[in-house]
Amino acid sequence: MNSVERVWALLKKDILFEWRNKTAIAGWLVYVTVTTFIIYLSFRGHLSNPAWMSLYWIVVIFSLLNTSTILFKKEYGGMFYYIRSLASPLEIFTSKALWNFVLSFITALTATFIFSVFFGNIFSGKVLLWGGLVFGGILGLSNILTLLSALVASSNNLVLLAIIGLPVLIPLILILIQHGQMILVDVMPQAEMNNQWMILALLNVVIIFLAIILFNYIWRE
Amino acid sequence: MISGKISLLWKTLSIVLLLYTVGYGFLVKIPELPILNESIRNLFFHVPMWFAMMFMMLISLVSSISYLATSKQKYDILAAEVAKVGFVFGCLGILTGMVWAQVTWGAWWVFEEVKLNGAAAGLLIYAAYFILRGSFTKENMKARFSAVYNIFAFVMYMVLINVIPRITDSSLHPGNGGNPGFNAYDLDNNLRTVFYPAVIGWTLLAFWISTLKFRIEMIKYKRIDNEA
Repeated sequence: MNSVERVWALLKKDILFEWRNKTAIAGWLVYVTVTTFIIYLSFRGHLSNPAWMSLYWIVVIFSLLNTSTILFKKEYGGMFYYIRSLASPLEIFTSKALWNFVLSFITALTATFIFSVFFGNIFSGKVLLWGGLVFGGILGLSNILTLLSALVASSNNLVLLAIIGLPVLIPLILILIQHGQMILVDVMPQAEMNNQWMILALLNVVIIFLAIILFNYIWRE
Repeated sequence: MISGKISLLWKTLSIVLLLYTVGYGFLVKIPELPILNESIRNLFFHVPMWFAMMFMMLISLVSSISYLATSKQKYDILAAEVAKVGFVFGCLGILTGMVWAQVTWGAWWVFEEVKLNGAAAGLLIYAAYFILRGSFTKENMKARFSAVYNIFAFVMYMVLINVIPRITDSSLHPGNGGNPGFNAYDLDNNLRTVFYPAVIGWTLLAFWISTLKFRIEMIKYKRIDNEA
């Protein structure tokens, strides 16, 4: 069995677990819908564009924090030693990060859909740009959260992931909100937009690189 | 013997530089700038606080990397203590900044200002580091996991205070408009004669405090180790 097959096998195991008890799927669906509804009630149905952007990312991030907490929960105890004998840390990290990315991307798309239903579609002509931004943002967010959830998996504190995750995510959130607002405004010169995409891409590269290197040290029990 | 003399040298240097900063800093001739006037002297206190914090966090980063490389507990203890002192200096930086803001901009805090929010978020990142350390009971897990978080936190901190201000345009901070440095800040030669020694003095003081805390923590650690 080579590396790719191992990663795929680990991924299939996670998907199967998920399909059987559906905790994460139910989590994001309920979370996103309920929070959006609460926002709808408090803002009486009308959101300005910047507010749409900021609230969207807040809802997505809190939903991701919820789903990421349970990512490594099962991997401690006896399961830990079993998995460790099967696959290298890089493969384990790749499978977890891919799984987290898939879950997070579905969450973000659902949130886009639900936000558009409640507050109107503000990205009518720019779906591709928005899709690219969500892709880049979720890539960075899911990798950071995978790494951090491995850090806090062994503790009993349920909010620890939120406590350590939110401050570290602040730079990425700022970049995403600003980038999103630049997409909404039509008069942005192309050079500025390219600058923003480059910053997002570079940040993602740095995050993935760091996460892969650091995960080896976490996993070395 | 020689290490004792070297440490005496830099500790004395730190005191001398700080006395010079506090003394001559209030007497040096300042350029005639509108709005800032005499408050420009805060430059010798506010900005060096941030330099001290950055240097301390850098030492903390190197120490964390050393811990991951060698698994020696002393590196982990050093990383934590230096980060604590850096955090205190960061708080002082924010306090001196708030006083300066009240005098020049008329408000203690301005929410639109990216650098202020970046500074506060940076403090939050390191506060989370201390909370993470507090949540572990086993020493080796605490050391290893907090070292991993420290490395990640430092990189995000650098992004927060260097990259983000450069990509936003407007800022109330003097000498800004994309560049978070203070080169465009009208630093004439008189100010430079006090500013550079101030940075060195405050950084050496921060380092001195962290070495003291480090020695206390090492004694505590060895005592528990011996009893166990």
